[in-house]
Amino acid sequence: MELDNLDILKNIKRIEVPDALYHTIECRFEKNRENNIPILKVGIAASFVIGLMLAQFYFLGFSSEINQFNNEIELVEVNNNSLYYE
Amino acid sequence: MVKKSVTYKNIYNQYKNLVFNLALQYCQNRQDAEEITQDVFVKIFDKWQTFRKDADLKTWIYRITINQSLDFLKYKQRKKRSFIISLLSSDSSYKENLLPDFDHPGILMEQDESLKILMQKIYRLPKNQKTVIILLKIEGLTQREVAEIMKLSEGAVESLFQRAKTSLKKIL
Repeated sequence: MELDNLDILKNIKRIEVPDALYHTIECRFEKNRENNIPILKVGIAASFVIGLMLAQFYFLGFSSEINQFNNEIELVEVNNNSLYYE
Repeated sequence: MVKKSVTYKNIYNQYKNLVFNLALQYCQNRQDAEEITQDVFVKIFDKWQTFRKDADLKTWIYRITINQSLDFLKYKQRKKRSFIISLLSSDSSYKENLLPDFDHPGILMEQDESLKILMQKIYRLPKNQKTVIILLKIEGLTQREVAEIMKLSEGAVESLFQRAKTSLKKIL
């Protein structure tokens, strides 16, 4: 077979698509659209979660500052020898 | 909603045969070609809103069809390969044996055995070489059109075409 002459490929017949195919495509497309979660709603939910996490980190940091302050107070030596003098 | 539906129907009617026949050249099987055609149009409708209307619609549809066809072939070969590997101890020649379930109505109608053999050889080409042969020799596009679809220079298309011819000669 002469591979230099690929013109033989022009003999391939074009085939008509069956009419029923459009209905199948339409149904698939509609189903895909129903299954897709809207990006806007996902964005709002994600922003809310991120906001909560940031708030949590902020308040955790704030409360750890308070704890640190309290710990520093406890480290300060308090001379209360009244127990031993009793 | 009705207007959008009319647009989709128009697009489908205008390009259905192009998509189906192009998919058929890749998979060489009517059933697979119908499945690819469905995938292509669902994708077109899905991405229609983001399609730049100043770009060439036909080129865009060609690209989607080619990509979907190649993805389908890759998926099918992976499925066959995993089945065959489980049966064979050595994988030396399984790749050459992964021929399609040949059911190309456009060729079977012609009852041309040499055409069938050539198509089966084309099936085994690397994806870019296969694409260039299909677009140039079956779809009858110009080199310029093929270059635009494949996002290559015309020189690169010609070079790819020559390599494809050489590969076809080597395939037994």
